[in-house]
Amino acid sequence: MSMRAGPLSDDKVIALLNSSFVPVYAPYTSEETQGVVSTEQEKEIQRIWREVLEKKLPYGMVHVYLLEPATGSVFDSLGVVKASVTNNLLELLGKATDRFKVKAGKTLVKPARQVFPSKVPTEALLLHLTARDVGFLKPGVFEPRARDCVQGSWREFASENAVVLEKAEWMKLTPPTGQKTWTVSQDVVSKFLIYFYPMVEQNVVSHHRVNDAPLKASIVSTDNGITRIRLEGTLALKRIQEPDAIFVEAPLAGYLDYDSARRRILAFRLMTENGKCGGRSFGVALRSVPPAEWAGSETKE
Amino acid sequence: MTAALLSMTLLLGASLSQVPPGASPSDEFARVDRWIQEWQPTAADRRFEEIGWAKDIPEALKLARQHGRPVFVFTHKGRINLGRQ
Repeated sequence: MSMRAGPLSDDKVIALLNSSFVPVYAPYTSEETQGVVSTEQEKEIQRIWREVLEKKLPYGMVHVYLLEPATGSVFDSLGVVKASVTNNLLELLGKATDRFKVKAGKTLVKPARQVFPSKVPTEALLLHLTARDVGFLKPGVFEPRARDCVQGSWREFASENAVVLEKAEWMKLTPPTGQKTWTVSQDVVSKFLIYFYPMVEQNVVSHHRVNDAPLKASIVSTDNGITRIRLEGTLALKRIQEPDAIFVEAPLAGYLDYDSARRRILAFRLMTENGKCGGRSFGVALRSVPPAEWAGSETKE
Repeated sequence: MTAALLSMTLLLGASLSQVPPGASPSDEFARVDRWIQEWQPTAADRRFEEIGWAKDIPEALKLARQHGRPVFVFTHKGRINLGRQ
């Protein structure tokens, strides 16, 4: 992520990539990205890596590669450690534009949100989550760091997730007939609470396990057919490889507005202000996204 | 940035944990709304999205051929677009 916090947030690099290159980021298949990387994409990554070895160019899995315009063959590369220094990357890009005499032009792909899925099923509820690391719980020179709540560029920008709840799932958030208080279905809360964690390295979300009954709901008011429901609880997230160790603890507070006549959730809000992960503190904001905000985003899922 | 976030957290945290006894539900929900709003990614967080990223390598190769531009590929672990793994 040092690339994102560094050169990929730099004015000159952004301008050069947009005007003279076709930029693409390519997560490779790993435990963390299962189901994300298409077969075609993985085939191209493998082809690039093979070519680089044959051409004896610098090689790495976290790496920048430049491909020729006409053939797509690799002609240059730079490892992430060097590429994370903005001037090094600018030099690499400059050499490439000179070599192919690229004339700067317009951005070929319209910049867009990279978080939301390009398609959301009709009647689904799209949730957007923002997590931020806010520092050590007990700041001090000798404060030991938790094994995987590491310090670094992960903390330099907000991390995000998009969670899609199908109608059958979000209906489980709504009041059961005749009840004013209830425990929200474990299945549905697990879909979003597994993302309540700060930025960490070497983490596999599918290993997260949510504690039993972490979220309670209660009807606060009903006005003009809109029911306001308070959400509150405590999350204790564990991971399957360490079933006895708590990975994250977080108080939860929020609400949802439900239109019972039209059977729609109008607003969903859930937050944790002082979650704990090892020796670090973090916050999370989860909200429903109006269709106008994500519609038409041509993004990666 | 980190310092600003920390101070915002402390302020918001203080306001949330020091809810006066008997505070109305509307105050409670207004605080949730404020937190959610202030916690959203900033323009600085989202500079990465100012780049016109191709959907995938096959699409990038096609555009490169059409426009005579080199392809910039960054292979990586995790989910750079989400900012986490």
